[in-house]
Amino acid sequence: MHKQNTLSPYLIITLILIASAVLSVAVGSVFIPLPTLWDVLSSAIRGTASTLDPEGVYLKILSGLRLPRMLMLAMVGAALAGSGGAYQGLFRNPLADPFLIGVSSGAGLGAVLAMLAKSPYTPAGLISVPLAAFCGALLTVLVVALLARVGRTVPTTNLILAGVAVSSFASAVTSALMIHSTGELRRALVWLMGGAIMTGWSPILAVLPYVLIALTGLVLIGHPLNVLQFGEEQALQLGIRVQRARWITIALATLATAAAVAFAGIIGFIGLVVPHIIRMLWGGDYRRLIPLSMLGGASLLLLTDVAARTVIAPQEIPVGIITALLGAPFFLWILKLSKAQNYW
Amino acid sequence: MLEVIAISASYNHKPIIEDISLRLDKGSVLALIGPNGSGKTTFIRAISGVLPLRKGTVKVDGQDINNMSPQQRARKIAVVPQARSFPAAFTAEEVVALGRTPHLNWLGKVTERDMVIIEEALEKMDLTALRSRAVSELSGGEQQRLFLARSLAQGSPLLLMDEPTTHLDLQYQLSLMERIYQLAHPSDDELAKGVQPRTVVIAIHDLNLISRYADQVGLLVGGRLITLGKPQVVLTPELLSSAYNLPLQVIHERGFTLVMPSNPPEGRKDQ
Repeated sequence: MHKQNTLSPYLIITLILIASAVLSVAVGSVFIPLPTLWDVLSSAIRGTASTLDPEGVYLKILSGLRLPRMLMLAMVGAALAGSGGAYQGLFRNPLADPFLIGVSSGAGLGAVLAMLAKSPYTPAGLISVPLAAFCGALLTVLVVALLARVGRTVPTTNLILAGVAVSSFASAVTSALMIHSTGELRRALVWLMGGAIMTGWSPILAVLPYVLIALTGLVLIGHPLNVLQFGEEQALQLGIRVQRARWITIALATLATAAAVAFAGIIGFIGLVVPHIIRMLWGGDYRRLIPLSMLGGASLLLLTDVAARTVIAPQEIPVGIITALLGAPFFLWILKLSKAQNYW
Repeated sequence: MLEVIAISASYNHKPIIEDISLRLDKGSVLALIGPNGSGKTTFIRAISGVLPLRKGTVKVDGQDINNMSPQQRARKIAVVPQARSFPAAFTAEEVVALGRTPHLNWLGKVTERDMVIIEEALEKMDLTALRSRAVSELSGGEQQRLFLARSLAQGSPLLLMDEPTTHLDLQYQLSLMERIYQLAHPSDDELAKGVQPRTVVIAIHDLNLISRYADQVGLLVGGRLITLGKPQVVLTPELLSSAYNLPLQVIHERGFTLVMPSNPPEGRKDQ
């Protein structure tokens, strides 16, 4: 509520994000020391040759690989954490996460269907894959919400169980489809594990409109989400058009998830872990929680990716495996905390 | 101020309240009493606009609440919920601030004037010292005061409350009712400062609090309004005994009206 309380979280998280971004472009099979990195990038911007990189090798690595990868990961992390925070507010449930409630798997199924028709890297693929992912994700969230709903509330257990069931179903269909298409099998498997982040500049341009719309929208719905925390009836008595607010939230959060899945595969737990850490540190006001979660999500995914690329270098672990390794224990911890009542 | 004209409402296709009419003047407290299932909660929900009416009209300051948007309605009617569902991660101040929702835009940006009103509401309910506490850390009585503060911040002339004293000990029950009475009957000081008297409708089980704080009492039985009048008119052994299906006596003692069962406890030998 107070200015001095809201300024510092943004500053802290932004600094973490900048550090993560620098680390992400510096670390890899070839380590680029910070002074070199600075020199290469600043001279590229000025249009002059870098003295520390006379042959332009580093510049090629940066502009061709690491910068687009960093930007993609940052957008995906922001989208996952932002939508996770929004789903938690929407379902008034601490364990809502695009992965756990099955939205990611639904988006995955949609994306695979589109990929079977068009390679994701062709212009038609760049347009159709995210659209198909969005349709799959929207269908899943509606089915899960319908299955889990008891009267006016969505109990935690029901939400997770419905999420697991629908998600398993979607994953099974996805796997069956992949077996059928032998050529794409390996690629799709890696992609499913969150290890096939699309790199290069054209995917960045393709994902940008979705991410911009979804993230801007999610940042703007913090106030209605706050009011919804009192429950449907009280929100209506406080003057909120509840159904409209809900549909807008579902559409935006699902769009963000679908964009993330279409361009980076299924990466779990970011949407769960980040909003929780933010909530513990800076409270539950969604007007602050959602933008802070986005910045935090971008940082966490960048750092996880650095770990994924370095732990058993030169081999790369799919980043989704690392987020699951970190996220699953966190999930259990939240489950315990939320039983203790006074946290959520 | 409040006009209820022949309303009927159903819940899950079951008719709950039938043909209720009443008028309430500005600055008065109406207590709704009646046995469990007599339709008190349904009546409150129906006149708050969240439960569609099957028949009849509800008007606040002459305007039909059915023709209002949720926002317009919330500016006229504030509902104090039973403190059951609340966001534990919010602070007391954040909860009170959300009471301003019907006056805010989609982004929920509060102005200086909103801040003043929020501050007054916190102060009035003695919550200023607790403002930064998480809702989950407050006691039941404090939470109930918090929700009252939220509806004060809402600034609506009509306040609706469903069993606000449940789960409160005697001290908190009295202090809450005292505050509610003062909202409807501001002191001369407050009136001089421009404080508007609120109109209060309150569903309540405790019959002994009513004679102290209610201006009007409505007795609901089986979804119908049996009697409406001053406490001394409604709190009679005849009306209450038949409403609650139990022999009751009414004792007037030093200006208080006490309602008690007439029969001694069954099977108890030491009395």
